[in-house]
Amino acid sequence: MNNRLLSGLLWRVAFAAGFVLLGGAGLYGIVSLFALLRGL
Amino acid sequence: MTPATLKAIAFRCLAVSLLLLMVEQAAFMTENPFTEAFVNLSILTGLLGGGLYVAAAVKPADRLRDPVLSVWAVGLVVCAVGILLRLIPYGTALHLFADRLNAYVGFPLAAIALGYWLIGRFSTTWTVWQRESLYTVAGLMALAGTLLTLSPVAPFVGNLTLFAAPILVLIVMAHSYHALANRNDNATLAPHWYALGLLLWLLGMGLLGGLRAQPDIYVFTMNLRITQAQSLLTLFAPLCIILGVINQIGAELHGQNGRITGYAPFWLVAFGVIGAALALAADGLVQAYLLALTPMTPSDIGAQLRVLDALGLLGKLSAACGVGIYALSFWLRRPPIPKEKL
Repeated sequence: MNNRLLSGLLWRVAFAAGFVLLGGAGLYGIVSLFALLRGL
Repeated sequence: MTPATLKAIAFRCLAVSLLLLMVEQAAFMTENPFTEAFVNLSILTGLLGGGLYVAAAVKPADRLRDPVLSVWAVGLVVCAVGILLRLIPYGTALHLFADRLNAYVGFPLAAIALGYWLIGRFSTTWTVWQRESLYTVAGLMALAGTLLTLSPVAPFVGNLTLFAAPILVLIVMAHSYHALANRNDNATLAPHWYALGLLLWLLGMGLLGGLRAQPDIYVFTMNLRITQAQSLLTLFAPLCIILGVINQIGAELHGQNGRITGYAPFWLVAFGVIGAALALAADGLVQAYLLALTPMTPSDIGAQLRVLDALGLLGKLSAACGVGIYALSFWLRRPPIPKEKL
């Protein structure tokens, strides 16, 4: 694993944080979409 | 600095750009006011990384004469001027001008240079043609961008831009069509992302940008969501080219001729961005018509626009999902550290 680019701990943490953030925003988006559709 | 080190730095810049794009997508979904800052930072780091990777393969003495690097450098200098103008604390008009300068001149110039580097990788067209075409296309894009940037200055410029911007961007597309139609056996998704970037420029700069440059239409659409649609399309075009560059560089560093990030993110982002922009543009038109033709007030209109809001949200979700899958496959298939003698 160490012979790859972006192998450090900081990269792992940064990408993990990015995925969590994007996933959270995606969930927020899905909930908002359902709320919008229910109001139609 | 050795080429291998430069390539590693370039790849890390592109990784940071992708991270910033993920944050931007999250901010865009939640309508966070920092969305614009993240998108600009993501484009800047991506353009920087792409250019550094190109520079790694060119001898230091030849870098100033290299067509891709020279056009890329001009684009980044314009971006630097834009950022400096943005840093001057007074003057909303100046900040607006700086934003337009970056979006219409700086980013397109640097991104089209990287696009032509991609053309060199996926097309069978002659190097001489690529060199000539890049200078022509860069000139046309710079002209279109300058007209769009200066359109609010005088009504004459705005009226001229209404006709000139679509024609100029169409000529740029015609140049790239020649390269896209004559492909070699490159299996990466670089040509797909490049073509999507061009399409977004045509819609954002050529169509909506041209329309909104006309002074009367500009005043009419000033507070409508059509402005958001235009900035979404215009700013996502260089991002698409950066995603193509990441794809190509990933494949090259792996030493494999294959799709690194797959078709799913490409179609999700394409559908999402164009869908969200269409919904935002339609939203603006419906808003304008309802306000002009019916006695409704802006607070009544909200309920009428729910279907379009839902479509816009679906587009945003699709684009965010595409970026997420792209980042995941980028992470899982991140290449080995480049060695000095490859």
